[in-house]
Order: sequence, then C-alpha cells, then structure tokens
Amino acid sequence: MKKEIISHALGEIDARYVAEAAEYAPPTARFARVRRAAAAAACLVLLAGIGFGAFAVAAEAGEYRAAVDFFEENGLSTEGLSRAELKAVYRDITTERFASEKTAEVLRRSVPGWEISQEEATPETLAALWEQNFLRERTDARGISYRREYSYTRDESLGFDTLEKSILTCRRGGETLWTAEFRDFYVEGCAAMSAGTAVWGFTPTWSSAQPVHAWLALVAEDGAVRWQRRLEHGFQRESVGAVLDDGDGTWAVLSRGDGKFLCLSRLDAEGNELHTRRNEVGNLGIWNAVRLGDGYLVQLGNTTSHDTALLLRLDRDGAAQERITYEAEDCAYHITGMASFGGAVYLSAYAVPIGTDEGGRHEIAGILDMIFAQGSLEPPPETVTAAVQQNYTAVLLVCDAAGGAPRTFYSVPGSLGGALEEDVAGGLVWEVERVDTVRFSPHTSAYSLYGSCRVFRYTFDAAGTLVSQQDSGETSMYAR
Amino acid sequence: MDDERIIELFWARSETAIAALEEKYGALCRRVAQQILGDSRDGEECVSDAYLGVWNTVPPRRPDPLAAYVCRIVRNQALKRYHANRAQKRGSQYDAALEELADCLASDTSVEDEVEARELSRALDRFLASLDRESRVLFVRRYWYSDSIESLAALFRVREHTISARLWRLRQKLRRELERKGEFL
Repeated sequence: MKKEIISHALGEIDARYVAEAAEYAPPTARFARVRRAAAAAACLVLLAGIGFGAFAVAAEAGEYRAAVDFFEENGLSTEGLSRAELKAVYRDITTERFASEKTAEVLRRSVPGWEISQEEATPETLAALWEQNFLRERTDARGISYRREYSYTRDESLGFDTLEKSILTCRRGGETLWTAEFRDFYVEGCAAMSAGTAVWGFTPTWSSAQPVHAWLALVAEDGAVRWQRRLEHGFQRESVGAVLDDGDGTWAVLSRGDGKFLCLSRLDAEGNELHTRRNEVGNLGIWNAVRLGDGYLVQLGNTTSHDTALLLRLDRDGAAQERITYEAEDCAYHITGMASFGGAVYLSAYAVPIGTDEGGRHEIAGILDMIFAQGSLEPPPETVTAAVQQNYTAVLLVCDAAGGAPRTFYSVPGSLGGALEEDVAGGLVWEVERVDTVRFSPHTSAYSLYGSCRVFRYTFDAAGTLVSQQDSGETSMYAR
Repeated sequence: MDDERIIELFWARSETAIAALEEKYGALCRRVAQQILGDSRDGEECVSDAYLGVWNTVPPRRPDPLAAYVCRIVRNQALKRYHANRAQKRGSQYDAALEELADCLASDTSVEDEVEARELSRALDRFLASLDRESRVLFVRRYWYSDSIESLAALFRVREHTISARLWRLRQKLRRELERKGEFL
C-alpha cells in the first residue's frame, strides 16, 4: 500500500523537477578536476612533508572539503560559485559575519520566496534567515538557543555513511555554554528542566525492518551527559514529542508509538521509568504540550486530515479525559503555540474562513478563488496582500486550570499567531506575525502565495492585562 | 529541433511529429520505461503507447516542458504494465527504489485516497524545493526515473557508495521533514 501511495505521489511531483532531472548535465570537468586536484595536492604535501607552502596547500584543501561538506549538509546551492567563493561563503556563515554578497546570493537561491520578501540583504536579515531556515534554532526568553549538528562516518560493512554522533551546542548571545555529544541517537529536540536540559531523539536506522526507538538524556549545566536511556514500550517505532517538568523532580514524557498511540511516561531524576500509559489516538502528531492543573493539555495534529486545533486533556497518569476541537461555524483555527501562565493555559492561534473547496488548499482557497475570478495570473501585490490580510486573524485563547474549552482572550486582524512563552520578567510574550507583503506565484510548486510578515510582541502580565505592544523589527516568511 | 517546433508539428497533425519526438526524447523515454519494467520489449511498447498519448492530447495541449510531459505519460503507461505484470515478476529498479523510499512513510494507514496522495506529492514538492539542485536531481533520478545506483554514480562522477550515502541522507531528511510537519507520521 505504501509503495503504491508513494508511486502515485511521485507521479504528481512538479513537472519542472522531472524536466530538470532529465536535462541535468553532469558536473563540469572543471569541478571534477578541482576535487581530484585537491586530493592530489594533499598527497603531494604528505610526500614533501615539510614547508609552509605545502602546509598552506593542505590547509586550503582541508577548508575546501569542509566547505563542500557544509554546503551539502545544509542543502545550500553551489551553483555558479568558484572554489574561492565557496570557501568565502562558508567562512562568512560559520563565523556568523553574513557580510558577503555571495552569502546573500547563496541564501537567496536556497530559501524559496525569500528573494522577493527581502529586498535588501543586511547582515542582520541574513543571520535571521540563516537561523530560521537552516539552523532552526530559536532563542528562548532566557536568551538560550540550542544547535543540533550531525556527523557521519563510513560503515565499511554496509558500504555507506552512518551516524557517528549528534552534537548539541547550547549558546547564549553567540557564546557557547556547553557542547554535548550523543553516539546512540539523532538528537531531535531539547527543553530546559530544573535539573538541566532534557534531550530526546531516535535511533538511526537504514532499513524499514529496523525498529526505531526513542531516546532521552539529561545534560547538566556544565554539558556533562548525566544519563541517557532508551524507551522500551514494545513499539516498532516510537518518537518523543515533548518533555515536561512536573516540578517535583519527575518528567512527563509524551511520545508516539507505531503511528497511533500517545504515551505518557513518568521518569525520575535518574531517568528511571516510574509509570507509562498509552492512549490510542490515531495518526496524530504531538504538536504542543503543557501542564494544565494536575494534568496535561496536548495539541495533536495532522495537516493531511486538517486537524490543526485538536486538544487532548490528560490526567496526571496520562489517561485521556477530554478531546476538544476548537472550531467555529464560519472559521477554522490553527493552534501554533501553548504556554502555562498565571494558573491558566494560553494558546496562540490563527483563524481563517472555512472554505468549500475540495482541492486541499483550505486555508487560502478564498484568496485563490478571488485571484482566478479576476482573470489575471499577475495580480498586483497590494491586491494579494490585502486579501491575505483579510483572510487571517491572530487569536490568543485561554483555558482555565479546571479544564473546559478554550475561549478567545485577544485577537488581532490581518495577522497570524506565533510563538508564545513566559519571559524572564514574568510576563507572557505573544508573537503576532502581521502580514506585510504577499505575492502570487502560480508557477511554483511548493507554494502559491509567498511573502513576509512583520513580527510584533504583545506582553501580558499575570492578570492578563496587555502591558506592551512592540514592533520587534524582525520578519517571518509567509508561504502557502 | 526545439520543443516548440515539435509541438507545432503535432498541432499541424504532421506525421513527422512523432519522429521528431522520438529523435529528441526516444532514448530518455525508453530508459524511463525500462527502469520500471526491467524489460526492453515491454518498454518499447510503452513508449509507442505514450507517443500515441501525446498525439491524442497535443492539441489541445501545449505542454511545457515537453520532456516532463512525455516522460510522465511513459511512466504512467509503464506503471500500468508493471502492475499487470507484478504477479509474475519483481526485481526492477522501480521496486528497489520504492522499497527504499517506503521507509519514509512509517504507517500503512496514514494515506487513504487520492486527495491525500496529492498532499504527499505537495510535501514532496516542498521537500524538493528545499534541496540544492544536485540533491534534487539525484532524488528525482532515483525515485522518479528509477535510475540504478550504478548509473547515478556514472552520471555524478562519484563512487557508488557516495551515491548510496547521499540518498540515505536525503531519505533521512525527508522523513524528518514529514515528521516535523506532522504529515504522514
């Protein structure tokens, strides 16, 4: 069944990719020679053994190989770059200077839609772009960010590269606080706990016949890995979606098993499993989770089935208490963030009108209908932007600790609700992404509308009063 | 002959249109069919059927790009025949490539109908859009055209194990992307 679905889906991919692959010319002889020349140069250096010139050649070759690997790992395009330019971009990004025009060119080619939404490439916008689209690092309210990297090594028995180790780096303000390495699993996520940092991930595999286990670890403040353990729940495939600090030295670990079970496991400070409970919920991912009163509130989701505002309330032992879909007669909600604050749970979301289309473009169906009704495939950006602004409303919802359905607490028209978290000053910060400029792109396969949003930060105090509203000066990408 | 001229020949109902199509894309079409079917005679018949398909649909269509259009028809013809033959034989490059990619979808029950397969296709498009050109071509050549590892190694002028490693990383990346977005978990 799976193979038929994949075959069907592959048959529908964008014709341009099919054509591109058919028309692909092999790497130029020049490029191939460069790589071989680098290897030859390195050999000559070894033979000579001494001399600054030889050392410089070896160092250059090493840097070039590192740069090529870096481009490959991050999916960056090397098209049109000379050897020197490739190294320069590599240095520019890894030293976080983002000052080179070539860096802007490379990122422009590698991030769909960005070339229109950002007219000028400043080091700040490039750094933000890099962070959002490649590192996927997010700096939390404490100024902490985590970077995940993976290194690979060739397994001679298999004949290809396998994971050597995952490297997790904790940083604050550009300074590395610690680095931890994990050889048994791909690091997939982490969260700050009272005892340190909870890290989770999954077993690397190279065949569908191998089971995929979920892993957990605790990293202390100095970067030492205190413990790591594999979850053993009898699933063929298990992954962790969230880890919550219970505040009493234990963790609540929310995981998915075999694509249909939601598990809540409680671990003590040493990583020993004290309890586990599974609920069959169907093919739904864990999108968000927070503590709610004595239990938990979990957002489950699946974009294919359009479950974007489905909440499951669990008791302390992980038994499902209530399943809530937040919806209205005339609009659909997409929950994008959750946070416990002031004894309640707040949900960041955005609302869009309910469409009647059956083509799978529910969120933007009305906008596309409007564009097609006008009969032009090049509508002015201001027309598209206005339609997109009209389509979205950012909504902040609140649930009290006793449970019950969420209710609207605050709304901002023309915007999308973004991240939500408590800041160090004890306020609740809600990011609101105001639709700024959007264009229509009928020829692009990955999206039809793209542009940028301006990020505003709304701060509420513990009583729920709006105390400030600030333009962060940051932008986020919009693509649908 | 450029694609526009070939399409004009089809529009003019000229008998030389198919010859022109064969001259320009015949080898590519035969390879697409053969990779799926693993049999040159079956492949040849699919290509002939596909040319007839182009003749019947151009006009009214003006496909752009023409290569993708004709290859897609060949692929569909080859898949029809593949499914018909499947009970008797396996072991084509198409089988091998799909086997690899099936690992990216963890559940057998997550996608049930054509609309959802279209959503997966869109997710694949997004994934392909995020890749550099070389990686994208590698992915499409392996999983759309069902090219063998050996032929890809020759195309990219690298060793076979390098191709295997790159494909493995791409599949890992695709699986992570699908999981991250909550799709096809």
